[in-house]
Amino acid sequence: MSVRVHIPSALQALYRMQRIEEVEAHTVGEVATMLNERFPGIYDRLMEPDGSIRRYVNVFVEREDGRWPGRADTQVENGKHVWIVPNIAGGARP
Amino acid sequence: MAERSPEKGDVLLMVGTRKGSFLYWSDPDRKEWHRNMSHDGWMIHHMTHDPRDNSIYAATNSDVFGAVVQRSPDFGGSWEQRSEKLDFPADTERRVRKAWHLAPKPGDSPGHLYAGVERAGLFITDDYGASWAPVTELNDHTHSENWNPGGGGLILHTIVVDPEDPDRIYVGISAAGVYRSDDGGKTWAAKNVGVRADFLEEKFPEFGQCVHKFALHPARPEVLYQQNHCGVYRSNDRGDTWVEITQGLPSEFGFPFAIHAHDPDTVYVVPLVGSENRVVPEGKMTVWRSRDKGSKWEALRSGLPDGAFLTILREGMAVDDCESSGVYVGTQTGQIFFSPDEGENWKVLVDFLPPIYSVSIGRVT
Repeated sequence: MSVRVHIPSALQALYRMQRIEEVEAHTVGEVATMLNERFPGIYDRLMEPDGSIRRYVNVFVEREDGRWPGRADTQVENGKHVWIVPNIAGGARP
Repeated sequence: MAERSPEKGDVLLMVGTRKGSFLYWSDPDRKEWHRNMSHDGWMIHHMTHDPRDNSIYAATNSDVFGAVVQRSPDFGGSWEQRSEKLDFPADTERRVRKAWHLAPKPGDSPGHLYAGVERAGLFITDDYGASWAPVTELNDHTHSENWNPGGGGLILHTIVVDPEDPDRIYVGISAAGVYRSDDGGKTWAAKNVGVRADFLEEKFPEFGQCVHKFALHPARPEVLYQQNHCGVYRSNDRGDTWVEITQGLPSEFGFPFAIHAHDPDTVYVVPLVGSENRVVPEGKMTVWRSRDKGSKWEALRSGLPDGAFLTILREGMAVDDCESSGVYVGTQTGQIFFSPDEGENWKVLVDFLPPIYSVSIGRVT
């Protein structure tokens, strides 16, 4: 079950990653686990200790019927794309 | 600033900002500085140098991706960022949101380090920051459910280890006060006797004081100093009791505190107007120095600007251990003021940086 994961620029720089990384995973949580095997530490950047997705991290999962926000247990489909997107909030602080 | 790599004996000036870290180094003349920068876009709350292996550690933070303690083995040329398990156990509601302070644990082994975090907690690593464990005896202290946040949040922002006894550890928590362990972190006691908490109904509680920064000198580790929300204090008995030494200063409020590298009786503060107006009084950038443990204070402003309504945060001042000790002050508006002569004369060393969160000093070994 291979999925293509779109990595935000902040994490590309931090872990010296490609813009798109390919991993074997069945769920969003497994995507984080598999990324962590190649980029140790990244799991903690994406997930809370209880296994949920971090508060300001959004994960969008491509399905046959469109692109949907995912939770840790959301299934990912073979050959599809997953986007990791930081929350964007602006104006209050430079 | 010319290019050359850090060399043995160089002074390291580590600057953490709202937008990345900046490392400067110079020979002890401190006339020609070199620079590199790292961590684009990340908030850097503190940096420290471990002279045992010349590692530099940075407390890097992101509102989205959380707290990461990063280590550089090559003066910022590259960074390691595993930083796993820098968080409270999953079965609690507490979460680590930022890393605020780092302190090497004294001893023969490099790679042993403490980290202070928000929500207030202490963590320890023995593998160069690759993985962390909570110091639960402090984090779950019986007081901890009643610790209240200060203006910056509920943060553990200062860690001081007695250089003569690594089992004696002090931490500062806003707004809970100073805590001390005498047994390597197994038990902790509040050490705030004599320190005011004017914002509480009870002015001298066991805990709840808003310590902003404290320090000790390695030559006299039984003496502690602290800049508090409500005054400046000295303890002659390892924090058991404190006496106020604010008299002579223009304000009781300020953030950083520093001790001269070679003279444990000489100390520095940067008073601000007060809690409601956190800028230097009258727009006169001034560092205040005492040569006698806080009995008398003198204003140092030769070379410092007027009409400058500047803010200096809790990690914003450091001293070096050169023969003529240097003093460095970083502002929230991106200047670093430098005195090469113990505070007598000042100049702008760097300007136009992002808001400065921390200024730290090391020496290349």
